[in-house]
Amino acid sequence: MALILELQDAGFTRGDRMVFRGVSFGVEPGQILCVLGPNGIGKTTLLRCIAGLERLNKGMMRLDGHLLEQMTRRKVGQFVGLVPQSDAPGFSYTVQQMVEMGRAAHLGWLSAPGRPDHALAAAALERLGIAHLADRAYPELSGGERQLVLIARALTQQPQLLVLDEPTAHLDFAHQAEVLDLVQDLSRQGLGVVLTTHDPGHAFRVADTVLLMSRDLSVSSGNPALVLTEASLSAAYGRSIRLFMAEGQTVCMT
Amino acid sequence: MRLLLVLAPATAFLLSFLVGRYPVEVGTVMRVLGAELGIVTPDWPEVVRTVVVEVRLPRILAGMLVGGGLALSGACYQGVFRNPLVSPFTLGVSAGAGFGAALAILLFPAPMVVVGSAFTFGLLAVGLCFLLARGGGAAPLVLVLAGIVVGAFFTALLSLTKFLADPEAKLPLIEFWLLGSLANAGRRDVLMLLVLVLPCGALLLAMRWRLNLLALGDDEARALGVDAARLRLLVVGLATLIAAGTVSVAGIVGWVGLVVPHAARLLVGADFRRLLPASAALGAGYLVAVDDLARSLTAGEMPIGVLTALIGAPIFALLLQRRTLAWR
Repeated sequence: MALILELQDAGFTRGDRMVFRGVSFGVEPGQILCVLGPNGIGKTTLLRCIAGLERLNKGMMRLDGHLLEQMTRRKVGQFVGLVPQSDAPGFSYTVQQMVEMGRAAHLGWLSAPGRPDHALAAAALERLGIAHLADRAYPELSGGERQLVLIARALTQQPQLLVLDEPTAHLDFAHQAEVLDLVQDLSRQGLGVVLTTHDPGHAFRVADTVLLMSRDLSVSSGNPALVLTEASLSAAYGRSIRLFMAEGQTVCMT
Repeated sequence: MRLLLVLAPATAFLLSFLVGRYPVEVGTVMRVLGAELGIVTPDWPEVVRTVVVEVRLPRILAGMLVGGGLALSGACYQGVFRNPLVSPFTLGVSAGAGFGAALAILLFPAPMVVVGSAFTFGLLAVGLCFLLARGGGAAPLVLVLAGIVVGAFFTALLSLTKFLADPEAKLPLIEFWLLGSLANAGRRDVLMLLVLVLPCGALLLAMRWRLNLLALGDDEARALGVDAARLRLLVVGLATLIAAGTVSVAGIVGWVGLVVPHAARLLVGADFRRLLPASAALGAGYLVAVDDLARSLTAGEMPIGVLTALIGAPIFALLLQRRTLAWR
């Protein structure tokens, strides 16, 4: 099948510091790629490159077969939905208003969201199970609730590639599981998904492919069971890590 | 709420015709205005028409356009810079215009030259800010800092012109201009404001939903498919044209562009779809009302800039106390 996201020998330097290099992978429609690695290794930077917020210094990247440099901001916005880590809130928008902003790339210059857009936003809220928050002020929500709102906003964007930066970071145990289920649901509907996580267990659970970034700038990618071994994880995180099987799931312990 | 936002400026508009030394009644005002539109046949002395149409109407229209323009422009600035403390004057437009006006008063003191010079130097100051901030990618904070630098530079130039000005004849004129006033607003000023404020304001209002995206910050806006830098340049450009136009006609009328958007946000919320029209309506009504005070409080004319500061600062302090100031 055609790749909707393709990176070849991608590298990124900030100042004179090499953040990552030699990153190559592809994502097909319906596939989930999970990015793992210790803090500060450049996972978020990689996602920002994929969403077109940063530019690779080396290598090339294609979205749906098009080189990223040749796409307009609007086209990228129609194709990739980014769920950032929820940040400090600014103006006091309601949840409904926040989610409708996902329509920006689909709306003309002088237009505002209309009835179909309201409906899309409402459906996304429903899907995330937060329809009851629609009229609440976004800055007053908890970190986890904000995370769910941002996911709903990305769904309202109707992208073909969903990019999530630690979508489970602020969530309680039950919501983590729900978000992972949602991600799997979406991929079954044909969405490509790239997400970062700190829990290798999540990768075992949902990922078709994993990308493991290590401190020595080496990168390995492939099938989770092949890439995520006790040896490779211990080397990547610089600490002895053990894997166990429990009830058919792989669990990770330090 | 919507009704209030229409009624307040409309009432301020009508009642302002009654303020002044020559007494007129509301009914007369409405009939005189009707006669101008050809609906009513005049049955009153010519002096009534002169007072209502020639003297008071331009001043009231100028007040509404200046107030509405400043508040609209201020709301846009606050959203674009994601900062509750910026106003239309943040990028040095007032300092630049002040210098431009002072220079013109010094060299060619014709009214249109003063207005034109103030407008040109106001825009020049903002242009310089963008030039300075280019190194930092025209990021909001870099722009605000550039505004401080450019503002300080033009304020120094202004002090120089004041130092050189003849203290008997020219200096009072410069001082009076800097304090802000609508006393000299005539038909030509109203025309200039109409030509500037209406199209720029209409364009800003037309794209007001997009301003919400800029207020989320550049990264989020870009991730949602919006070219944030270009949109910001456009919005700041339009808002600056409005600010420069109002400053060149009315002098430096501070605090309106800062306080009125906050008041509007309290009333209708943060969504620019409602915030921008509300700010414009409130600003228009507010400035006309303050100008009525300026005309009637003392026998002479009070500078309107002094009044807006006297009223605006305590309101701002109140908002600060109640912590309603920031974004929520």
